[in-house]
Amino acid sequence: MAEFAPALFLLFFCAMFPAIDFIGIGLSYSACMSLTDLQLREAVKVPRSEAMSPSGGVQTIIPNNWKATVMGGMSSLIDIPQTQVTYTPGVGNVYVTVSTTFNIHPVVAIPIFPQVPGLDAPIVTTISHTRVLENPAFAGQ
Amino acid sequence: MSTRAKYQNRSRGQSLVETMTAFFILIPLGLVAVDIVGLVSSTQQNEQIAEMAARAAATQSTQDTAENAAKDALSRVQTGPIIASVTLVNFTYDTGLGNVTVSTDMDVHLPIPFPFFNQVNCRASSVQPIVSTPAPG
Repeated sequence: MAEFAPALFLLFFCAMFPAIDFIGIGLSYSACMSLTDLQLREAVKVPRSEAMSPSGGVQTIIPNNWKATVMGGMSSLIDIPQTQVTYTPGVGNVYVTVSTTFNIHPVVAIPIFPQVPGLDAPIVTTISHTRVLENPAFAGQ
Repeated sequence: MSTRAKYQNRSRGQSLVETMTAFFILIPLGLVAVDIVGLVSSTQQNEQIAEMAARAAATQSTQDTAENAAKDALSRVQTGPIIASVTLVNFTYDTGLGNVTVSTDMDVHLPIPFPFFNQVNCRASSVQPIVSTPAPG
């Protein structure tokens, strides 16, 4: 019976809670990837001024709508993700890159790993996706 | 040595053998799972790359410019320790059918290499309608 308490401590704090955190981070990451993909799909269809607008569809409306869905709600984000849209000219095309920075909080903060990202501290990650702009004229509008 | 002590020693030995056997099965299974995740993610990325190259080519009005546009799209792919290279293996610009077909080959290095199985070659194809010319008849 004497080893019961340390065994439980090790089981919970070194195995179970980290496993829950890793699963949570994986779910949040996949949710964040889907948000970036949604933002990019919108960014390739609208003029540059709209895509770059801080209150526009790409940077504000889509993240807010996504946050209200099950997937967005399950991802343990600390704040609304920050989005950056860049345009790069290519051979006969213009490429749009949407980079979104997420601040993912661990599901269970484990104090025995102080300030370790993903276990006790948030993980900051940036997801970037690139696609061809549907109408190259939109790059200058 | 008493009978009880002999039994305890035998029991401990049996537990050790069971634990080692379980580790020899569970650890490779876990490593294979990591490889499968890397492989699935890479093949999906290859599909997206082929689609992007085909879309880039579909906006061009001639075969040469379309192929250059597809190659330019592929040159933007970031390679790394898992995705070693992405190459254009087949390009068809068919104005009769009004579509462009792009096939790409991706060399994937498995995150956890196994002997005789450390690299996989994936192929993806994408067909996109040509949007730079009027649709055929």
